[in-house]
Amino acid sequence: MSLWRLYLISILVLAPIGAFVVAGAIALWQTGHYFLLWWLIPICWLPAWLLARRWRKHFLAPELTGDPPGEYWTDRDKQAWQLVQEAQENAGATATERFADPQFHLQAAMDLGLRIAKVYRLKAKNPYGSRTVIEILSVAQLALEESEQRIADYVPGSYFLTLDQWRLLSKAPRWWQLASNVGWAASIAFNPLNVTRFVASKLALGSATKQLQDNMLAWAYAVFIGRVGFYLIEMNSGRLRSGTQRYKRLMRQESTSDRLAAGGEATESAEPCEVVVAVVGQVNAGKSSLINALIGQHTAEADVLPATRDVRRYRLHQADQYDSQWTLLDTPGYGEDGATSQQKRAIQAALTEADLVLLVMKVNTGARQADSLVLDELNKLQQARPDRKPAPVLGVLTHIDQLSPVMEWAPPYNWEMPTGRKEEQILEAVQYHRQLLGPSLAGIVPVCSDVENQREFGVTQWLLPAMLQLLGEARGCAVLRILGQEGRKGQTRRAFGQLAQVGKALLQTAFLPDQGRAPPHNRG
Amino acid sequence: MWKRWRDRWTGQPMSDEEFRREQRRILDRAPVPLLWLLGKTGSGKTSIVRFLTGADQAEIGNGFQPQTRTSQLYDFPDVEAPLVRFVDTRGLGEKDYDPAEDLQQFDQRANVIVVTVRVMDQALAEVIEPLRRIRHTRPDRPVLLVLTCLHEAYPQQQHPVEDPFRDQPIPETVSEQLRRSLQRQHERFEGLVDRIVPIDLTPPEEGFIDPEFGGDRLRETLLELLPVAYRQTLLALEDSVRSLHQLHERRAMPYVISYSAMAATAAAVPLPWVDIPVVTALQAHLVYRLGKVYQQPIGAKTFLEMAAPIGGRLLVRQAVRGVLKFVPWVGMAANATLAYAYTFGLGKACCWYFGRLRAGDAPTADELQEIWQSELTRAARYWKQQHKSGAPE
Repeated sequence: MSLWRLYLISILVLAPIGAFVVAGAIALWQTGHYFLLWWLIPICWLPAWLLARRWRKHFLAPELTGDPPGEYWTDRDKQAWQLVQEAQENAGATATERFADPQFHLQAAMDLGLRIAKVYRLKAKNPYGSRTVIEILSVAQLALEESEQRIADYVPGSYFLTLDQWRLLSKAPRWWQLASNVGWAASIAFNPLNVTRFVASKLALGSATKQLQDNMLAWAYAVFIGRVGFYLIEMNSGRLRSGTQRYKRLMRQESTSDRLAAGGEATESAEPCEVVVAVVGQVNAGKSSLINALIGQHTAEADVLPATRDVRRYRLHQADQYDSQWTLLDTPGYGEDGATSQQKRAIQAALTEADLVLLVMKVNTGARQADSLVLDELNKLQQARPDRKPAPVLGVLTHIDQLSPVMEWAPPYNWEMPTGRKEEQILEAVQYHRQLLGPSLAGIVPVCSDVENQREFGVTQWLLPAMLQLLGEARGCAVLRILGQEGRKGQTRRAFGQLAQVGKALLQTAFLPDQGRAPPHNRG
Repeated sequence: MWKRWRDRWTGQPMSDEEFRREQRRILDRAPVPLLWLLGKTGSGKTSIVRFLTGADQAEIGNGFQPQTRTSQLYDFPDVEAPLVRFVDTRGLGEKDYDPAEDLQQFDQRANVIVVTVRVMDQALAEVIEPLRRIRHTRPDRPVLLVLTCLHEAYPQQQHPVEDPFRDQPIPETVSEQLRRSLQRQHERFEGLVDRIVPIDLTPPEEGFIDPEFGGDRLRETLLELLPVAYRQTLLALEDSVRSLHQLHERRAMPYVISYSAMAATAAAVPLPWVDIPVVTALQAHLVYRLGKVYQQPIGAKTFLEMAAPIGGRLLVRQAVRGVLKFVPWVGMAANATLAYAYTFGLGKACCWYFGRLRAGDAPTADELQEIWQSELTRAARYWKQQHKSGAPE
């Protein structure tokens, strides 16, 4: 709809109301009831002024200050986000006039950028040093787009605001005051009684409109700072490296999956983002059996002797409401005598890649030193790369059939509310492991995954729900991992592309001097 | 020194402190084997202690929670009169446990090492590495590998009725899974252990008909591995305790054997009469100890009642033994035999006596003497039977 049509419709809608207001005022004046209604203004505006004063402190509600941190954010990201929030809170204390100055916005963004960069590069002398120009442009572009979107969402008619009008808004108090003072002078000359009304109006309306303007401007500033901060964090964490387009697609998918997890429906088809689940544990803890039980096929080689010597990948598609895509990594077990360094590296690689770790432990062996060491190593790996979120670890206790009484196997067992000896033992084992390894684990699930002897229990009942519960967190890890990987790959490719461009340009100037003078339309 | 000699010649009773000192000296010489149990947590170390001694003090865990929280020296039946000593080390591979110190400490003292491994467990780096070092320091010391928890290879099934491991180390009749795992364990421990015994001591509460599957083989193998000197005590223990069903007697017998062995050690000194006070003191202590086991307070009256038929003769006999010592080697052997037999007979007679007292009737002096006589002959026979292979060590 073009602008003049909108105006026309607005006029058509508002004209009768305006006509009624004028006609009503004249009618009231003629009947002499005007003075009765006249008092309405001070009666309503005075409390309005008082309330405005009182509520002023609660300005800048958090939901207006930008997105809350994504679920995939690392601790370092959250630390940086606090800086952004501080900057937003300071908006209320800034002089209104400065908001209209574009230079002020840019300066604020630069300051924030420097402070956030310091969080990410504690030791570097020049925190901006390693940022590419494309990245900084990406941030600016994204923040602008989003701020625009937000203001359009919340401020009606903001599409029509030009920069001049925006400036006018900051100067509004002055000309408005002038105009209203002239109006009041005329009014008092006409009827001296209007002095009372003038005072009430001055008190209430004057400061209320001023406040409204201030708030409006500060709010817009806070939105801008919030968005800049958000993207600065995304940039510093390296997630923007694969470019804004790809970033947007993945982020959209992330929020889609959040919505899915909340029980909603998919609105747009998400690009497949697989969650990598590393299944680790001591030799013969039952990793391969567990994978077989999870995918419901006898695919992974499960044996009484150590059978898995390198990392193998299995796909698991849960065709449920979550539509989850999982890649299960079957790893060689640790703790075997004479384990090769190749096996150890394979486990390490799997841990590095994982978005979710299943730590498989045979329930009836108490030797947990090796498992504890692997948890330590995982922790170390994760601390070495703060740009990734630590993958949650789910403890899986296998072979619950071998708990006391050993001869008994009669599922279903409801171990959370134990009635029999077996159930009590399961509960005790879970509690013991929780106490032993608790802080490093997101949860502990007991299972029996003896698929070969048709003795399988707990995988669909307890393990899958527990995994789905961690799906959100794991997907967050997956997004960061994919962005990290693609960013690295993409950067090299782009660098080569740019190099080729430079080379082409050089060739053109060196060997084709005629074309060198031509406008560089062929450079992309 | 002179006082000691004088006391011995005059047959003065020893003071408690003197006795303890003497007892320590005897124990240093006594052949008390030290078995070192080494294995991951939950691999059944304590179950083996319990099986070998029949002692119920040793606590057995549920498998997932380490039960033996500190490595402990476990004297059976007790510290003052040990027959066998076990070192029950904390489970290897337990979280936050560094076994280095324990390993070093017990490595010096153990006579036999018993390594316990669950037969289906393949995560054995934590066992193999220390074992390799231990084996390296003393390759001649016997190491026995006990493969436990056989039932994990055949879940929810009973053990085979016929013990298939009697004839073959890796029998063909067992399931393929078990056979392959056994094979792997044999390969893995090649050169690190001397003997391999698969057993399953899972208690009957878990639903097993035979809670001591392979137990016989374990006992036999241990006896074969033990140096000859240590063999006797274990054999005596096994023979005497196995046939007994009465609880008090079961508890009492290890003491009788232990004190008899100590008396024999004390008496194996090539000097006449020197041992009389020691042996007498040992016998008196045994009587007190047995009184405790049977919960019969030993008052002056009880002691007098017993001394009349037994004690008087003891002193006379010991005087005779003293003379025998003048003929050095024969005297020593005969001397040790007699000290053993007298102490053993006394112990058995006491058990009988206290047992009757508990049951509510007081035996007459004649009855007691009769029992003592018959036990004495049995004890002498017993001693000869155990030492028929040659002279005592």
